Amino acid sequence: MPDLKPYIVLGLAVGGVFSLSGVGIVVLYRATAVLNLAYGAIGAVGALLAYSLTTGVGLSMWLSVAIVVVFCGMLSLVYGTFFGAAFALREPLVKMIGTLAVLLILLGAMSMIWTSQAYSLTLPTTNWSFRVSGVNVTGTQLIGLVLGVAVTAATAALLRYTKLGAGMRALADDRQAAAILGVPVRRVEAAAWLASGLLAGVTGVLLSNLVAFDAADLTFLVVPALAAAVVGRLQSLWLTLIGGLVIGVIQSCVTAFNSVSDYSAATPFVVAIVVMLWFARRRSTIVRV
Amino acid sequence: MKRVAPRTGVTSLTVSACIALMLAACGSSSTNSSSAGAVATSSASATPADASTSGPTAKCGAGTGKPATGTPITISGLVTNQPGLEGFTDSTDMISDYFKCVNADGGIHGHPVKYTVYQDQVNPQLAKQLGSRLLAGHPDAIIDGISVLDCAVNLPTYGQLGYYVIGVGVTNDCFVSPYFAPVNIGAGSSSIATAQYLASQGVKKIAIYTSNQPGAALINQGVADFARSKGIQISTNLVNVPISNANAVALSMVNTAGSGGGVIVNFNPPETVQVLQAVVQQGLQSRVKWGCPSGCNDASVVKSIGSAWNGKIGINAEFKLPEDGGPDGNLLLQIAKQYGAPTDAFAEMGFLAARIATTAMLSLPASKLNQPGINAAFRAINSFKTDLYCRSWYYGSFPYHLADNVVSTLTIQNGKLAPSQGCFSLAATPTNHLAQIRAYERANGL
Repeated sequence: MPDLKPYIVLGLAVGGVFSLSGVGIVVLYRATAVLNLAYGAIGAVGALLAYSLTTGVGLSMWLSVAIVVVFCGMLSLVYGTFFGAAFALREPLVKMIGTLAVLLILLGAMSMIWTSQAYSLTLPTTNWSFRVSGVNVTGTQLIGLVLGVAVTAATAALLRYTKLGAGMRALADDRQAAAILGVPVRRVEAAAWLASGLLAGVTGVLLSNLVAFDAADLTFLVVPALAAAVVGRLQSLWLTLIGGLVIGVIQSCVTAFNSVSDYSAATPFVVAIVVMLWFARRRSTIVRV
Repeated sequence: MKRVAPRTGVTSLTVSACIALMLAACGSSSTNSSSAGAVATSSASATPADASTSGPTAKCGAGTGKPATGTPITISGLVTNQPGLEGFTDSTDMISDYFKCVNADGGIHGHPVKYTVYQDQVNPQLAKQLGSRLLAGHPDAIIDGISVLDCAVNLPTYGQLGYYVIGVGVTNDCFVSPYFAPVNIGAGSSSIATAQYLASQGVKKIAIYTSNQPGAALINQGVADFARSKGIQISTNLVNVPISNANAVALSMVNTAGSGGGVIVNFNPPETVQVLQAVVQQGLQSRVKWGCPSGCNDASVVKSIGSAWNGKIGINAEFKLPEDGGPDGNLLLQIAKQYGAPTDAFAEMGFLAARIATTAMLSLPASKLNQPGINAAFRAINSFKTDLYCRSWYYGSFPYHLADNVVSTLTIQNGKLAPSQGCFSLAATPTNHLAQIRAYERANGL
């Protein structure tokens, strides 16, 4: 039996970023009922743009990151303003397919602009590390974990204690009723699109350091984030946080066992399916009682 | 008016999310835009030499310096282009640019070459459709780029129609057909060569990690066969890409190889960079010996992983570095500079395929520049010499093909690729049929 402590430490770091992505997806879904499949692609654009700004234009790393985070927020906001509003009264499945189109467009654009060569974007925090349980934990990994928890807590507080958060919760309950009661629907939805895009930018840059720096890889890293959101039933931020961390840790620990490491990519699916079955079983039990 | 009530539809939407998860996962292996692309001839002129290269520079074509204006010679090929298999189009980009240079330099006895590329994916139906489309154009010859499925799906048909293909071999099918002569050794033999490097470093155990794609198990099997023949312990591993936690994979690699062991990192460039950077983050470069097949023979990879790997990794080189200063290497660099083509190992494969084909076509009289004549000329090649190979290349009539079976090893010095081991013979294993191939070479004086 291999020593799993190092794998747990490494899994928590990546899991924190999965959680961060999941929170971005859940926040948008709660306010707009849009399940954003393009979340990873927006982050991928941000990461590649940061590379170009740093190596091509010569901007400092942190300035580049700040610019691309804002850019991703604006990209998301533009889609939400024009297409989100147009799809507002359509079925959730239609809204979701709209974001699939965005994903494909962005993926194609990235393939054209940033060709197939290998890229590298190293945040200064990646060069700083300390040892925990026999592994080097970099500053970027620590940021991934801390940011995941911090953003979850901050978002939960925002939803609970602010007027904007109350508006988002009202939209999540009933969009039409919220509009009748005076909730500024468009403004609240725009805020959700913007916040989700900002988080996509942050996670894109972090994942390019922690996981992969490739347009397709980053785009489809939305998979574990979606699984984390499913764990939270697209409602609970704290369960989404836990879901992301669990997926990150299990995926990392599976890597330690050669006999099953080939299946580590299936971890998000397995976790999502188990949670779905558990919720379904729990509900049917309640009905029987 | 329809009402949207997210809360009441949470369960159904959660199910939708699960479907979305599966859609997204499918997309990772099958979605991309290009279905087919045409690359036509160019009238751009080629400069006879490049000031940045040292030593003589070979000529692309006839060397007249005049653009070719005759009836085009039509050549087509397939290449794979999809997320997760990036870089394969570098091969056909270079083939296309090479023929631009040929056309600007007199062409083939005054005839320009029109090269058409069809971009497939790891989808047999699409590969079959594009193979049929290629044949519908009745090309005079076929020069393939790096297509994962073309050999498996279309090669028997090409053979029946009289084509003798020159191309880049990916799966085993490309190496066991009389109708396809690969200019490269393929990922399987490149991995065996990397294992030979690790064996020369005295490792007690080899752990190979290969990205999980068609033919990957056979690649690992070849290394396992070699390791066992040398009494070295072996651990074979397939890794699904994208890699979700490269640090964990790096840690697992070192733990699996153990003290005194060696690891073969066998991924495409983006994943290779990801894993090797994770190795550096964890400070594991010196814990084991590291080797990498020719996917690492890529300037962008070396630039990305940097000088932290100086002297700490052996990289198999199917071909010599273009920067070594030979005439063909200089020509490759000149074409890359003039037309913007890449210079990595995949591009070098394309360069060699185009150069071999051009040399064969130039040997023909103008009256034989047709499909039967050109394909017969391809098949008759028995000693193509270039400074980019360790030995001469041939087509031959043997059903097994691995003409490039003497290779070398590079390492990283001062953040750049540099020679590490001189030319050595690739080890024969049951998967590469090299024992039979060498017997054929001896019997035919090749």
